[in-house]
Formats: sequence, C-alpha cells, structure tokens
Amino acid sequence: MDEKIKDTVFGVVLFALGSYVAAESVLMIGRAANPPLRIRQLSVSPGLFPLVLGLLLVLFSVLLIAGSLKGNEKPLSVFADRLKTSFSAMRAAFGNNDFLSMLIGVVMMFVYCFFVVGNIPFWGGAVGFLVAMMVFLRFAGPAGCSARAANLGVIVLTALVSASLVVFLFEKIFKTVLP
Amino acid sequence: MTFQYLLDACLNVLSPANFLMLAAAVLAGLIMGMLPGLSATMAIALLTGLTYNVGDHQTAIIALLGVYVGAISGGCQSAILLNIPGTPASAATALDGFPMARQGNGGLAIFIATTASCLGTILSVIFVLTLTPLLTSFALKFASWEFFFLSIFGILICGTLTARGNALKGWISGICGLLTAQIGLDTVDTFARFSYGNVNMMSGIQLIPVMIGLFGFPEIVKAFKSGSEAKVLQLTSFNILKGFRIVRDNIVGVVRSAFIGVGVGIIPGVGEDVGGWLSYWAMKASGRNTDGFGKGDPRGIVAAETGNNACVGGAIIPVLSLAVPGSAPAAVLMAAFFMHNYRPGPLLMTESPEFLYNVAVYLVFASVLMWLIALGMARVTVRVLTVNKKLLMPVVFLLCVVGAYLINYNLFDVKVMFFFGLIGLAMSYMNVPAAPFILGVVLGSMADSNLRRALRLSDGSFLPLFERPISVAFLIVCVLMILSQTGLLAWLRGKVKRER
Repeated sequence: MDEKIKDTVFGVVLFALGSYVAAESVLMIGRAANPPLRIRQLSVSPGLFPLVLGLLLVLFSVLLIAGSLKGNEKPLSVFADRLKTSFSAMRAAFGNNDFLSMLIGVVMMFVYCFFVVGNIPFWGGAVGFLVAMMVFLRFAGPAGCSARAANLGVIVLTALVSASLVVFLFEKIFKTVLP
Repeated sequence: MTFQYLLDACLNVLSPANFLMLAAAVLAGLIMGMLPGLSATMAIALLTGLTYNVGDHQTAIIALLGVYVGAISGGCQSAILLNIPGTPASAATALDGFPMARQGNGGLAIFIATTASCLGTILSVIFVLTLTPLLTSFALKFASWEFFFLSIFGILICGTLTARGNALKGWISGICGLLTAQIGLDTVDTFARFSYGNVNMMSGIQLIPVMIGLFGFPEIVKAFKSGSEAKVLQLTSFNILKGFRIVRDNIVGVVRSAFIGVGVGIIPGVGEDVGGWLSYWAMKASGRNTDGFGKGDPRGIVAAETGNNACVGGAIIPVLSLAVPGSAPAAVLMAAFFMHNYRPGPLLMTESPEFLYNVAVYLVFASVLMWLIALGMARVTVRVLTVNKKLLMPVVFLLCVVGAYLINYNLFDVKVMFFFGLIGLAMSYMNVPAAPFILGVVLGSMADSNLRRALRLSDGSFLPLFERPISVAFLIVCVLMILSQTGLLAWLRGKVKRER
C-alpha cells in the first residue's frame, strides 16, 4: 500500500481510538466525582491525563490525515477513495501467499497462547506447537529453502531438543515453574 | 570510598559463578545480536524473565549488562558477512563492512568492528562514572513539574528522532505508550482506569510483555514470509596487526564517535542505531579522501561501531540518574533494575552509591570479554548465520512466551504479549517507530502522578509551573520542538517577515 494511503487509514483508526479514550475519560471523571473518592476538581481527577492524551490523539490523527491529503484539490473525495482502496487491498491480501502464511502463523501462535499454554503440560504443548509450526513452514516455504528441505524426522527432533532444553534451563537450572 | 566500590565490583565480577555467567551472557548476546530479527531489546527482555529467579541480584545485573554489550556488538558480524545488520545498531557498519568482506577482508572488518565496539563501550564507561553523579545532583532539584516535563520532553525528542521524517508518527506512538501506562489502578488515588472490572487489568500492563510483543513478535511473523536465503560470505583471516594499526590511525575518530555515541545515548529513547549513523556521518564529514566511504573504507566501520557501542554507556546515564531510559534496550534494563531491588533515579547516589560503580565495572569486563569471545569464537558463531529463520523463529516464539510468563507467573502476560505483538506488527507495517511507545509505557505513570501531584499541591493552579526555571526551560523546548516539527515555526517566521 502507498505510504499516504497507510497514513490515512492509520489516522482514521487513531481518530476512533482517541475519541473512545476521551469519552471514556469523561465518564471516568464523572465516576471519580462520586463516592468514595469525591474528586470534583478536573485538575486533580484521575481522568485528567487520559483525557488530555485522548484529545491529543484525536488532534494528531487529524493532522496526520490532513498531511496525507495535502496537495490534493478535492481532499474529501481523495479521502473516500483511499478508504475504498485500502478495503480492496485488504481483500486482495487474502490471495497473497505471503500474507496467508503470516496469517496462519499468527493464528497458530494465538491458539498456542490462548488455549494451549496453561491447559496442557508445558513440555507437551511446546513440542506440539513447534512440530506444527515447523511442518507448516516447511510446506509454506519457497522451493529450495532449507526449511523446506528439512524432513519430518529432523523437525520432530529439533522440536523435542528445543522444548527439552527450554524446560531443563528454566525448571532445573533457574528453578522456575513453567505454565 | 570510590576505590573501595570499584574494588568490590571487580571482586564481584571475578567470582567464578559471576564470571561464568558474564561469559555465557556475552556469548548469548553476541549470538542474538548476530541473528537478524533478534534485537538487543529482545535479548535483554528475554533474559530479564530468565534472571528473575536468580538468587544473587548482582549475578542477574552482570548477566543483563553482558547480554546488552554482546547483542549490540554481535550485530556487526551479520552486517559484514551477510549485508544484513543483526541489530538496527549495526546498520551503518554494513555500508563499508560488507564491501570489505566482498573484497576478501571479512576477517579484518570483523576485527576492526569488534575492537571499535570494545573501545566504544569502555570510553562510554568514563562518561558513566563522571556524568551520572553530576546529573544525579542536578536531578535532586527536580520536583513534580520538572519530572512531568522531563517525561513529555523524552517522548517528544524520541518521537522526533526515531520517526524518520514524520515526527507526528513518533509522537502518536509515544502517546499510545503513555495511554497503555494508564491502564490499571492509578498511583495517586488507586482509581481503576480502563480496567473493565478485570483484576489482571487493574494491576496494570507490565513493561516486559509489551516490549517482547512490540519488538519480537513482528520479526517472528515477518520470517514466515517467503524470501531468498542470504548467502554468508567467508570469514577470512583477522589480520590483527593491520587491524590494530587502522584503529590506532583513527583514534581521533574513535574518541569523537564515543562522544557522539554517549551524547545520543543520553537523549531519552534514542537508540544505538542513531549513534552509529551520526558517528559514521561525522567521520565521513571530517575525513580526507572520503570517496572510499560506502565501498569498503575501514574508517566507516570504526566510526559506526564505536558510536553505537558508546550509546550503551550513554543510555545508562539517564537510567541511573533520572530513571529515564536513553534507548529501548536501556528501558528494559531499567525495568530489570527495579525488579532486582535497585531504584535508579536522583536518590540512587544516596541510597545505593555502589551500584553506579558496579555497573561501570561490569560494563568494562563485559566489553573486554565480548572482544575475546567475539574474535575467539568467530569461526563457530558465524555458523549461526546459516541457521534458517523459519526453523529458528518458532523456538524464539516459545522463549517469548516463557519470558512474558515468568515476570509474574501469570498467563495474562502471555496474552498481553500476543496482543501487543499484533500492535507491533501493525506499527511496523505503518512505519511507526516502536521506541517512543516503549518510552511512553515507562514514563506514563511518572508523567501522570507528577502532573496531578503538582496540581494538587497548587490547588489546581498552573502558575507555580512558571515560577520554576527548569520546568519553564523544558516547556519552551517542548513547544519549540512541536512548532518546528509541525511546520508552524516556519509559518510563524514567514508571517512575521511579511508583516515587517
């Protein structure tokens, strides 16, 4: 994506975030005014700094968007076009092998972080994750790359050795408790 | 007393366990620094989790400083042999290092780079020892307003210098970091902010998982992309005598680069890469026959490596004296200092004066060991460069998970690491620097609590701010920086000229 389109999209996301933070901070100031704190003065309220940050985020996002649209005669139509372009670029990304590899990799890491760690003994979960990830990368990798050349036996062995080393280092040497 | 502290620190580091730990940490740092994608920040962040349970705090500090020095220096080997800097700090080294390696002088280039790195760190230690007490005594004059403006100044300058052309993006990154630090119970009234009734959120967001996520996760995910594997050039003979001659002939450049590196390191949040580039530029600007720069001139390597390693000491100076990190790796180091019961800041020289001398001595030993290990084991360690990242990165992710978990033994931190990893990935795609974000997380609580404390003392009035010269100076610098970076200063000047 073009740098200016990226800036426009980034600005829109930040504008939404800044608005939310500012609104939440106003509610916070209201809550702090009630018992038990009863802080009615804005300048000492716990919501003051987040409010300032939220407003700054809104201001900077507007400046970022304005900077990315600078030099265009019809900034509003360019702005709308850029948002449309970014949506179509996102759709097109699903047809890109690199993007899909990264997406699947991220999903696998998500599953490991949110569902495997803490629910399955660390050693077993780690070996399973490493094998799954390396097998996936073996097939996702470009022809000729050494990851692709690695056979299943090497992958399983690498996963077993790596997981065992991590467990040994942290649990035996550093006396920590792994999840 | 100073001599006693230095002697104690030497005895500490020379005890067999600590010395072994230092050697292992330096080697680990060198390897992590060599591998493109594994930065010094990530190395220290991972090791912080690892050293959490080490009984002796001194051993942990020795290991952390060792890995810092090793990682910053290790990046030069991949920059020279692969033309891919292992860490951003070595980017300037690749300019002349890789051409030298292509000319068959890879060994000589690595020798020069490693020697310059060692000298850079050692020279920076002199500044650590002299400037830290001065800055600490100056910082004792700081009250709430000054600390508030110091945090804001840090974010602004870090955002300006790391955003590469668009300071706005750097500032936005810093604001997002400051906002992240607001999550949880506030330090003044224990009021829950952005916590949504979640107990984990109420205890706040830990720095280390955020840091591992922002710096490590994007590099892991990027390695999943297809790409041709880079060819590692052969490591030739070091040519030690010639190497020493080159360093000796450029000793003025070494000292100048050390000054630049320390100066850059002291600026909050601005890292070793800027130190390397500025030193390289200064060497080129001040030298004769500069046509060879970029084509394999050893002076470029000397400047870049001295400059980036001098930043190590420079970045530690504000950590020790102001509790404000000079670079992203120094931010993790600061968090680790707190974890190991040291309280860097203006009171450091009063509460634990020996700590400054410990850090200085450990840095010197780490840099000398780095020189020995990097050169002695070069033929073994360069093999690491041939390891395929697609096989390595899943293992690195496993270490990220463990590193995030061990900070509090809390699975919530693993989820935090993943969440901020996604944010880091998006920021990397949008070309938004991550360093101001980290600085924001570090300084967020300090900025908020000091602002409100100052306002509470003045009953909500901003007037006392203008009665304090240091805070007024900070305010003027901050306003000027915003005006100049947004183009408003030039616009105002033009308007004044037109009116005249």
